[in-house]
Amino acid sequence: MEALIQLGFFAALLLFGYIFGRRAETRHYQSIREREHSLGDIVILSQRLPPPELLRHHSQLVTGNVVISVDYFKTLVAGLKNLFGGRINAYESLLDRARREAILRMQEEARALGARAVVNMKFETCQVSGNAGQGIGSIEVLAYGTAMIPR
Amino acid sequence: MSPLPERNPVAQEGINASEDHPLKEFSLLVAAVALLGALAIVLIGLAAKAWAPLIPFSLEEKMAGIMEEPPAQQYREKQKALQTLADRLLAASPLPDDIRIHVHYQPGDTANAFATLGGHIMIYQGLIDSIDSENALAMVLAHEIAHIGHRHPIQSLSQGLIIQLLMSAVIGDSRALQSLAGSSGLIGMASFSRAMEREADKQALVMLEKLYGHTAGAESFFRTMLEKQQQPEWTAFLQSHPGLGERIETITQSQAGNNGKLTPLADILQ
Repeated sequence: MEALIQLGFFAALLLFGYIFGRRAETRHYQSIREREHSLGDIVILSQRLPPPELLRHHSQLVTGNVVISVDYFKTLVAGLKNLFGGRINAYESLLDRARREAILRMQEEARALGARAVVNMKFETCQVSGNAGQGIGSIEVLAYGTAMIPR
Repeated sequence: MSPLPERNPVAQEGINASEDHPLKEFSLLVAAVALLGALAIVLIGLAAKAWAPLIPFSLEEKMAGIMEEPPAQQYREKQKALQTLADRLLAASPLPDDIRIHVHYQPGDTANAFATLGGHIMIYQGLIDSIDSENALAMVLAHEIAHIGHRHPIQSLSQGLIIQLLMSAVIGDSRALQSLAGSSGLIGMASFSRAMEREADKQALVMLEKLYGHTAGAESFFRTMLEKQQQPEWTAFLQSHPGLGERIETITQSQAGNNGKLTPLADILQ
């Protein structure tokens, strides 16, 4: 009986993790695509120095920061994948979303400053929950760069 | 240096993150794990069957050590009567010298009996209440003695131990190990497989035949169980002893052609 309750609890966590995680992911990707389109005119360059068109501009640091939590379903899939090795698709999509969301937030800040472009864009990442054993982890992704604002 | 583009390029989907449905990967992984797990359990089961007879019985007794407490005063006579019946069964069909059987009387209402490590057999008052002859009680006792004779408790416990160790190694969880360290994991009802139950039933019928010259009345307890099967308090027993119908049939087959006289229960047990 006790084992049955544990199993039910586990299944419920799994189901909740899957349903809500999946719904959040679908919606998030949709929102990411829409905003990538509308913020597409804030050009992002990875090069350290601005191209000639952006000389004689103001420059200012802009940042975009995201913390994303893993859901139970993804944790379990990743745990199973640990046994066999290989791509952990469940985490890849999570990190892909986090990176793109971080860029978008950085672009939003740049737009608020009236910038045309962001140069020298870079990523930073850290694990928020540390090595909390079996706990559900979350990660932070920070995108930052130099906004080039017309004088 | 290239000129400044008008817009950012549109991101290509499906490169950094796979577009496969997550359930596809999940079901593949679960299937693979289930397959490997089942294979491991079957292999460990076979191995346990092979090594159980090699483990000295004295080691088993040492593991079960804590059960040697004497029964309460009012139950002493009943326990003695049960032990006497077990000794008679053993005298008719002896076990290897180093295996000693200790029968314990339990006052509980549960209609159950079980064999565990160290040759200990628990018989509950509830079981004695649900039978009508010594033959039926002897059948239950012989069944549990057969479990011990075949070393089923150590077999199922060592099997469970290894599976738990393996699982904790795979999952990386130390809780299973901690529960093993305590004695709670070792003592208690060992769960026997259907094959073990069948083996024990077969052996028990042989033992009855040797003691009484027939196996009449042996099915009595199982018949009572079958009648009460609908009641929830019996579920615990049914989970560890599946297939009552099949077991009754085995017993009735052994009774073909013999019409033995039933021995009444000892007065103290009635």
